[in-house]
Amino acid sequence: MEWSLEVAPLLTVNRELDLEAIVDRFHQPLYRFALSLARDEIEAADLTQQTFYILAQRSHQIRDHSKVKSWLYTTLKREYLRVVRAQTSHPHVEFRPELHDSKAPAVDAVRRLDGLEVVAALKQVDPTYRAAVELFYLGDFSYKEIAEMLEIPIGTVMSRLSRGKDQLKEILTAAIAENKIIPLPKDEEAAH
Amino acid sequence: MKKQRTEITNENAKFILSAYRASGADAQDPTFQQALKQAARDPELAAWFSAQRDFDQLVSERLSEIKPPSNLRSAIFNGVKTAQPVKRFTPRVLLAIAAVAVAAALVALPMTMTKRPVRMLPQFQQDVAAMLTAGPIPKLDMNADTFAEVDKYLDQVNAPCAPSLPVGLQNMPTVGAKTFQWKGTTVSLTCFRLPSGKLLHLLVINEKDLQPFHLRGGIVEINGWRMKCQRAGGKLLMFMTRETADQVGQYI
Repeated sequence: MEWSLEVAPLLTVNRELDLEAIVDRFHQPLYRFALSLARDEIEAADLTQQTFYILAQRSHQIRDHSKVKSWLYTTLKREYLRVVRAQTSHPHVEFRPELHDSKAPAVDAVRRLDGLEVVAALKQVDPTYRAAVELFYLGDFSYKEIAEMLEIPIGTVMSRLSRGKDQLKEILTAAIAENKIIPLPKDEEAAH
Repeated sequence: MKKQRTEITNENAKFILSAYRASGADAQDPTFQQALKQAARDPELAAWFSAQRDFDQLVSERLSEIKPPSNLRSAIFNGVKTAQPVKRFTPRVLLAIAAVAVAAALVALPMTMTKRPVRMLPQFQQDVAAMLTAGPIPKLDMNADTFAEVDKYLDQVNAPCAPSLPVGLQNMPTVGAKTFQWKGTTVSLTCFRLPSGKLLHLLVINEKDLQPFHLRGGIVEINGWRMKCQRAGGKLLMFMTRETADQVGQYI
């Protein structure tokens, strides 16, 4: 099966989860995912740490070892929601039809951004679409895995990815146009 | 027999290909085959798909450049080592455990009434320093910009709070606060953000919960933390920071 190559090294010789191998493999991508949810680096590190702590407590309850990756992402998201339950207010994103078809500037925009700025843009995507887009980019999950994790139909995942990506492009393009995200130094800007 | 329809519209193809990962991990997935064939035939769709993959690739690359704090891995391992597996019990086992717990409590109650846990100030200082050194800042119970908000919160949860602050901290912004149990007694932790960006922690415990102690006026250093203790209104106030001793003297 496709996943067996990935899962095998994450188990000890006794077929138990190898926590050290799992931490080594997933702590960086999981931290990035946490950063897309949390307010700052400290909270993201805290969420990541807490997720592995829960894994250590419940590793014996995970029957399907092929699902460790999606279990980690789902648990981190759940922990995040538990912590900030009523506190988070999602920013409203204005739909800008004039930017809808401007795909090429979006690619240029990303070229000029760093990772944290892309995370900042991701956070502005409408919450309805954001979870699917985050799992796509930050977890490298397939649409089927995303459907399973979010408990929504496959068609809905595709729709959310399509709309969410369009919205991300709009946000990036608008940010470049309005100099909201990346104030490039003047000399560097002139060089572009 | 009807010939099966093989063409889809470009809009449908775009919809499906939006879920296609730039890494090519979905290349063998039958769901994408028809849309991929369509992209191979149609130049407009091909151009769109190419731009989409460039975009996805770039976003993934930029995101993968983000590195976690260098101490995160070791902090995770410290946490993992202390985590005890949580076991699920059947109702019958739970009843048995409850019965044993009640029996144990009945036996232990007279002992606990006569024997208080020994809480020494040096041990308190060591334990708190270890807690704050182990990893990122402990998760705060609440965030607040001012000490007045923290004071209100600690009052609500019935946790010890500083009756007054040194002049240097009175207008200092706070990050938030948490309470925790140390040897069976409640301690509060308030975090202040210093102008340098570093944090200053204020720990408060009821003085009566500690063994009698003598306070030295100076600054104590434990595990790289500078600490200074004060008595105020029946409370012990312990200030801790990574700042220099001179800075500590400036605020406290």
